[in-house]
Amino acid sequence: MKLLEVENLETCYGNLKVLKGITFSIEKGQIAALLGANGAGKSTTLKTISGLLKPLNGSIMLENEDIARLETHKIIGLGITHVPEGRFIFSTLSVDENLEIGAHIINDKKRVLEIKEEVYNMFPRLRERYKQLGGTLSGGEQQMLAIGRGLMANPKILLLDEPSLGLSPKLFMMIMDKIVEIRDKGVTILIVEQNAKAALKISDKGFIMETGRIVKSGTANELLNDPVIQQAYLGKKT
Amino acid sequence: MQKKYSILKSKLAIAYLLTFILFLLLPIVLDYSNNPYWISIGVNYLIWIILGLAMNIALGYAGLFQLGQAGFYAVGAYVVAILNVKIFTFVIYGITFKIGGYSFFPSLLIALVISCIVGYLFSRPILRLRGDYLCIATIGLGEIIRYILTNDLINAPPGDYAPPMKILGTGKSLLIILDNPVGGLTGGPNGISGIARPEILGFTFDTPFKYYYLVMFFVLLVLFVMKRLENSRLGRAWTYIREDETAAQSMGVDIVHYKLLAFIISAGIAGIAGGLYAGRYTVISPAPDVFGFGASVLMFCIVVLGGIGSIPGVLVGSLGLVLLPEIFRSFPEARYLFVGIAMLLMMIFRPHGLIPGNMLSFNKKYCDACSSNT
Repeated sequence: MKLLEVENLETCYGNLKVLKGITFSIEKGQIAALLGANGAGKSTTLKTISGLLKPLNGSIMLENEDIARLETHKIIGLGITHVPEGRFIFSTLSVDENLEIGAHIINDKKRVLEIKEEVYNMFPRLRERYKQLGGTLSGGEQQMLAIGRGLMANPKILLLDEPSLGLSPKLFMMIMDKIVEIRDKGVTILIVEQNAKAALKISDKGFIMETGRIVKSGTANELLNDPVIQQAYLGKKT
Repeated sequence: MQKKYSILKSKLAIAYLLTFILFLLLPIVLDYSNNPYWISIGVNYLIWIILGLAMNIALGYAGLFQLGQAGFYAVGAYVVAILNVKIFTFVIYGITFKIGGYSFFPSLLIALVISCIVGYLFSRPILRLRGDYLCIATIGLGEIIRYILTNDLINAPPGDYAPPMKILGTGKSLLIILDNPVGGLTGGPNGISGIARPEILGFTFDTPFKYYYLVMFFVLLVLFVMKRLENSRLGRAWTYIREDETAAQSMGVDIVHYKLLAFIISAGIAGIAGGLYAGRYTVISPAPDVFGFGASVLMFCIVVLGGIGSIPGVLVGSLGLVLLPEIFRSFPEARYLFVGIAMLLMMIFRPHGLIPGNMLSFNKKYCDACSSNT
């Protein structure tokens, strides 16, 4: 079943057209990877889906409902949460308060506590530091906090923008394991990543973007074994 | 850890109680020592506390650089004055009813509502502006309100020889008549005089001593509302917007909605302060030092010097900025010099304000974080 269908999406920054009509779809319970060089429009795609940017043309269907042009808080209410690049942790608020921001759209206090308990179970490190200020956490902990905060809204789809940013390889592998764990709990994931190889290894599906267009898409295995992609993105010499 | 926190909390409660008793006893002491001048300064101080608290909602909680606040202060004062002094007769499809000539308290309630409405109309077009751009836009809008009041909406006949009735609008369906049109609607640069003093159940708040307790009641009311707001869903949303607008937006906080609420609530409270000002002095005029840009800056300074987002900070900040010029009144040329020096010293030695808003909670968190690390 297709959960998210993006069709012919175009987005501009002023006069500059960044997305030139992209089309893709994600099935429920999948991890999909959006790959490409810097400036290809990956982050713009995520921002458009989550409503931070308004598209010029095209549609974004979530379970057969067009969500393009809705306000961000309404889109989150419908089940799409965006974990932005650079994490955007509230550095003067505690870990616990940071998590509660994520659940701002949920009115039921009891439900918020339940979800928070789940998030703490998934990231025990956050429970240890629940009173510490966001700004005093290490990079890896901040990334966990950002993902945990995204989960607080109880999303159907989680949009992850560069979870590897500034992390050591070991921490990165740990975050990747967590992403698989989140998928196994039934959350569909769309991940934007520079480390294409690692992202494709955990993904079911992949899309390669180049200057505002999707130039190749397929299952993760197909992409991993494609010689052109191996050369361009996976660092293999031919 | 829990114990430490509760001690801190009870200490705070004692501090609040002592401050409350001090405020309660102050006019009695001044009355015994026959000092009515200082009691009226006390009334002024309390009105500025309300204005500071209103500013604290926009600037301290939601982080909006609002420099048009004096406009709402003026709206509150003028609504109370107009409803008290003027009477309008409305004729709609033959049905006649009169508005105006109300006593102080009903007028104050209407002033609150109208200030909120003006706050909404004022902030709606500029909500998407941020930081310094918002600041400039609010300065302009605040001055617009004052100029509208100065230039009067209705052409006032000069002098006292106005006809007893003035027809404002004619039409088959609607006719508005202003019964006592001397001075027009807002009185232009002369303002409105002869506003009745507040009266409830035959008790008139006519002396500064009595008025002090009336304003103090409103201060407590506003404080109660603010304390409730601070830890509510709304208060938390404001904190997120203040800390990081983009992050708040991407986490599903409807920033336009919450910013609008901050403007409206802040405008309403400033309107109450304006109404209390009108009832205290019984004369109002659109003087720039009362309702102009200077007043907005003073409110801004109260919050910044006291400590952004902090209620005790507002009490201390308005004490400094309202009382200091009074103390040095005997040096009329140099009295603002002392205020300037005091502000400079504060900025050097306490750059986050005298009592920073998150000082107490920050220390608590910081200690806990350290102990959990070791």
